[in-house]
Amino acid sequence: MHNFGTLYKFELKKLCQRKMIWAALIILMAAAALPPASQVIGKMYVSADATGGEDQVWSHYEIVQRQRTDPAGLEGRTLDTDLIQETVAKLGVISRTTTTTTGGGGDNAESSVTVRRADPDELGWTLDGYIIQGEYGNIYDTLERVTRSVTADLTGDDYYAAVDDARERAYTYQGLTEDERAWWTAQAEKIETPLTVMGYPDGGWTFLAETAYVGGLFIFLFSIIALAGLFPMERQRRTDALIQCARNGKTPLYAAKLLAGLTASLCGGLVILGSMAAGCLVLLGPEDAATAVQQLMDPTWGAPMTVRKLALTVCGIYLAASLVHAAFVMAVSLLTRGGTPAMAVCFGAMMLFIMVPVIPLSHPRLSQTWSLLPAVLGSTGFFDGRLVHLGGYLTCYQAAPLLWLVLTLALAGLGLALHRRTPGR
Amino acid sequence: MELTIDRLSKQFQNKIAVDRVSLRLTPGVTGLLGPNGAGKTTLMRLICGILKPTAGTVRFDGLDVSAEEYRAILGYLPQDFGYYPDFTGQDLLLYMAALKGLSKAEARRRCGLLMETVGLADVRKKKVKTYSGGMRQRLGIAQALLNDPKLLVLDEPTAGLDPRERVRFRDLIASLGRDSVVLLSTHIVSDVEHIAGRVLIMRHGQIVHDGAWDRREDLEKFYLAQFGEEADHA
Repeated sequence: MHNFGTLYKFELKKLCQRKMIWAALIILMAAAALPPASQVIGKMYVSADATGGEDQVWSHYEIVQRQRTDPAGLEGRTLDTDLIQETVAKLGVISRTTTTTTGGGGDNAESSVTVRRADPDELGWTLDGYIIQGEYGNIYDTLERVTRSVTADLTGDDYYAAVDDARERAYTYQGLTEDERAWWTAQAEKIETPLTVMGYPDGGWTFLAETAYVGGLFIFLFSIIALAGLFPMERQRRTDALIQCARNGKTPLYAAKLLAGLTASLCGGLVILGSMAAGCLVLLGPEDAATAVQQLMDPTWGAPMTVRKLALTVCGIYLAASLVHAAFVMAVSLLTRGGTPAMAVCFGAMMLFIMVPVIPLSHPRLSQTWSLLPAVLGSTGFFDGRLVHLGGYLTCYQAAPLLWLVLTLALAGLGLALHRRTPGR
Repeated sequence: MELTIDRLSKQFQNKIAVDRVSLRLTPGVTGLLGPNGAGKTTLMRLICGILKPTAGTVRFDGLDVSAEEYRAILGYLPQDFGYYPDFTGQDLLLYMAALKGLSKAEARRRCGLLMETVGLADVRKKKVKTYSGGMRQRLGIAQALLNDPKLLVLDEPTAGLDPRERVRFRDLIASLGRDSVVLLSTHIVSDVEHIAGRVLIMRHGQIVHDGAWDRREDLEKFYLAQFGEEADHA
């Protein structure tokens, strides 16, 4: 009997009995909740012009709440000429000349922003040039991302033509082939235009999609801490000799340890990303994510997708990456035959990927291959227009989990060969 | 039932630890004596398949040492018995039973029986880190016996046991030798003297004495005569 289930249970038990793993998980969970928390910590001075009364100090949390509730009136409207004209009428007078000053006195938690009223009926703020408040603020922001300057005569057709132009420019820059362009054009045709505006799409899900790569790095870090010692611990505890001369000490034990390692990494990933998602959704709100299309946040996004689906896709990708990370760490630990050397090598690899997130598009194949490596998750190349041909065309983020599965199996095979060759002392 | 070792050698860089050893071991207890560095532990590791030989073969009833079936009939107690400190004694035995390929029911049955045999039944649910050195050694002996081995390799099994326990385990090992091939390495010459029907003495990687032992003779005196000062230092 290979007793795989029993061995797997005991390997998980060994992992769970290591206090360092729990300490690392708690710290990383807390750290993962920090990015959304940082959005609601701190205060801001709001001038009398903006408040319509006197100077006030608002907390960032209050501002986030106002951002969530102010645009509710626009819910369900379509982003067409009428809405664009309304937006221009309300906010079009805001110019880039607004000055922003930073508060002195060494108190970094507070900043002073010069705000001026754009229209007597509309509260429009600027912070570093971006509109962050007001009923039409998000719409204005969406328009400005493509057109650069919102003019008084902007129509819906102009806006969507500008979006198409922006996409084409991006595809040219990325060096897409005619086939790839045709594929993206077919995708773009599935996007319903004019877009339906949801009151506030820029909430927790959007923030999660944008910052989940931090969680991805934390998962890699967790895998290193948890798994670098999984195989070397037998040598350290002097149980390696007993294992090697046991009937199931070769392949069955390796398979049980490997699966326990993958399980630990996946569970760690779920907890870390879960903590991050909970922070995002509780503090920044889950509004409209189910139906708000990603094009409201990123107008040139080429495929039909809601904000929430993108956030969940990104989280799923990081969880898939956690399996490769786990297999990589375990293979390295078998190669180096020690927990500390394995940690050093894996940390080094992680730092390399952080320091070199992108390879220039002038080397297209190398650049795309680099973007597809599971540790380069913060790379913009991962979500650009370049496609991967695996029978049919797939985007990088669709192809990556499949490629990573193959990579995980290859690393598992390497690990097995190393485990079987590991000599006793 | 026979263990056949044929011109077995192991070389570590420029040191030959085991040098062309050939043996045939049949059921019974065989004692292995020799000073530190003589190659006893290396020979045992080679017999257990933990080390790969530089040359030669180890077979049990025709099964090669690298075969899974060979490992299935093997019981091994290493000199430095390793353990998981946060496992209970029972968990450790159940884990080892799973490694040795026992079914769940058989593992539970053997685990209970052996815990009784080695006198750890009362503390089977306590963590191994709370055990004394002697208790851990007894746990090590129990794990070696889990699969009812046909070939039992014991490296210093009575180290750390008090005199009463030592005598008890000597008797246990002697009884195991009736149905199995038992190779017993120890520094305690009296242990070998009492239970081994055959004595091997190693020196510089070679077997310098191989023969049945007449229990009327003084093995310690014979052993010291073989090594003189070298044995004194060991």
